Amino acid sequence: MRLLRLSLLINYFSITKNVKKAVTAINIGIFLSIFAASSAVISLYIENEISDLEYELASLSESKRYQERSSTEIPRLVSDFHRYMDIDKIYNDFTEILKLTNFGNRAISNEDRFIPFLYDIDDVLELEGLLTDDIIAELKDLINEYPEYTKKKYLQILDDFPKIIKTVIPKNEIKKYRNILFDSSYQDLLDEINNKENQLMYDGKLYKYYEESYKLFDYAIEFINMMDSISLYVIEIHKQTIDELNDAIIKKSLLEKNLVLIIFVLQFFVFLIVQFFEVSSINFNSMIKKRIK
Amino acid sequence: MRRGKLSNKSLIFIILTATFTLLSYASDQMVIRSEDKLRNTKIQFENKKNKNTEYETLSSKFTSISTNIDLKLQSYLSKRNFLIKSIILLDDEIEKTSKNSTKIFSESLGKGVEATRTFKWQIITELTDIVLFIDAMTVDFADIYIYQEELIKENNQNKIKKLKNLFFYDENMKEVTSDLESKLFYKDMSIYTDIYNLDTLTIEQTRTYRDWILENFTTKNFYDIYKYKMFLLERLYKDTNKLDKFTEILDENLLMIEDEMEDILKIIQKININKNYFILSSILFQVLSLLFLLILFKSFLITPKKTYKKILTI
Repeated sequence: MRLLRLSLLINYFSITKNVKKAVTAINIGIFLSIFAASSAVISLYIENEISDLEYELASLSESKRYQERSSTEIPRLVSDFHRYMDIDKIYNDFTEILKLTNFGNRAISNEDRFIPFLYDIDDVLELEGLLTDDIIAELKDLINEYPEYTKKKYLQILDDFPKIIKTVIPKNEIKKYRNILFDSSYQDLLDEINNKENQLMYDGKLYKYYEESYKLFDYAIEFINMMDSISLYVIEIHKQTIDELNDAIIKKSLLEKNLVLIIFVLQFFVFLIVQFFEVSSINFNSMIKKRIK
Repeated sequence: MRRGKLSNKSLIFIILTATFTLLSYASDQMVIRSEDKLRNTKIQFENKKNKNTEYETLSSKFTSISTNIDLKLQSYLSKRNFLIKSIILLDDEIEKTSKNSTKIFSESLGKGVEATRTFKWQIITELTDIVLFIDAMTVDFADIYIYQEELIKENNQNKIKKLKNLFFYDENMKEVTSDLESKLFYKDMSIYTDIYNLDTLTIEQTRTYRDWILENFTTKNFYDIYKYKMFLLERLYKDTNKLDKFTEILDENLLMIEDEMEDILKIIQKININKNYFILSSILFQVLSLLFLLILFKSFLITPKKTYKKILTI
C-alpha cells in the first residue's frame, strides 16, 4: 500500500497545479457529501412521517377486513332467522287448516303449536347485554350521518332495544316448556287430546308468549339489518380514510423528491460560488509565492 | 522520514471522522439486529394469523352444524306430537269411548292405504330420518374433531365434558338409554332400534320387519317409538347447546388472538420505523464521516503557514 502513503500524497499536493485539481475534487466531494447528508436528513424526517401514516393505514385495513368479514356473516344470520320463521309459518298454515276438523283440533294442542317456537327463546335474549351506553352513543353518531328517513327509523330501532329485548317468558317457565316439549308422558298426551280449552288456537298464556316472541324475532331481524347497514357504512368510511391516507403518503413521497431536488440546486449554486472564490484564492496565493521568490 | 505536526483543527476533524465512522458502524449493527427482530416478530405474526384462520374455520364449521341442527329441530319439533296423537286418536279403544267421532278419513284411499297405517308408517319413517340425520351430523362432527383434535382440546380444556362424544350415541348406549327405558312400555330397546339398524338386519329383512310392525305393534309400542324419537331430539338439542358453548369459547379465544395480532402488528410497525431510522442514520453518519475526512484533506492543502498580511508586508 505504498501508493497510499501520506508522504506521497503531500508531495503530490505540494505542486500548485495539483493543488488546484485536488481542491476542486475535494470541493466536489464536500458538495456531494453535504448534499447526501441533507438528503438523508430530509428522508429521515419524511420517512418517519410516512411510517406513521403507513401504520395507521395498516390498522385501518385490518379493521376494514374485520368489518367485511363480520358483514358477510350478517346475511347468513338473517337468512337463518327467516328460515326459522318460515318453518313456523308453514306449520302455522298446516295447523290452521287441520284445526278446522274435529280430528285435527284434538290432535294439535296449544302446546304443540306454540312451545316449539318458545323453548329456545332465551338464546335471542342473549342480545340483551350487547348494547352498552358507549356502543349506543357510537351507533347514534353513525346513524346521525344517514338521510332523514333512515335516521329516524334506525334511532327508533335503537330506542326500542331495551323495551323489546327483555325477558318475555320467565326462565322457570321456559324450563317447564322444555320439559313438556321433550318429555310428555302417555297420560300428558291423552290429557292434551281431551282438554278442550287447550284446543283454542288464539287464546291463553302460550299464545300471548308466542305473539311477544314473534315480535322479538321480527325486531331481531330489523336490528341485525340495521347493524349490517351501519357495518357497510363503517366499511365505506374506512375505505375513504384509506384512500386519503394513500394520497397523503404519495404527497409526502413527492414532497421528499422535490425537497431533495431543491436542496441539490441550492447546494450546487453555493458550491459554484465557493469554488470560484477558492480557485481565485489559490491563484492569488501562488502569485504571492512567486513574488516572494 | 519527516512528519508534519497535526494542528488542533486537523485533530478535531480526525476525531469527528472517527466518531461518525463508529456511529455508522453502530447504526449498521442496529439495522442487523432490527432485521433479526423483525423476522422473528413476522414469524410470530404469521403463526397467529394461521391460528386465527384455523379458529375461524373451526368456528364457522361448528356454527354451520349447529344451525343445520337448529333448523332441523324446529321442523321436527313443530309436528312432534301430531303422528302419535293421531295414532292414539284412531286407536279403537279410545275411538269407542270417545263422544267425538274421528272417522273423518276416506275409506276409499286405495288398496292398502289406510289412515292408521299411514300414520304408523310415517312415525317409523320419521324415526329413521332422525337417526340418519344424527348419523350425518356425527360424521360431520367427527371429521372436524379428528383433524382439529389438538386445537379443540387446547380451547376446551375440559370445560365442556365429553365433547368428543357429541352426537355419538352408540358408545355407552346402555348408560344413556337407561333413563329412557324406564319410561317405555316395553323395555327391550332392540325391537325399536331394529327399525333402522342395518347392522343386524338386511334391507329386505328391515322392510319385512317394518311391515310386521305395522301389523303387530300396538299404540303403546308406537308411543315407545315416539318417546325414543323425542329422546334423540332432546339429545340432539343438548349436544347442540354444548357445541354452541364450545363455539362461544372458540370465538372468545379468536377475539383474543385478533387483539394479540394487532399488538404484534404495532410492534412490527415500530421495529420497521426503527430499522428505517437506523438505515438513514447509518447513511448520514457515513456521509458526515466522509465530509469531515474531505475537510481534513482540504485543511492540509489550503491552511496558510503565515497570514497573507504578514506575507505581503515582507
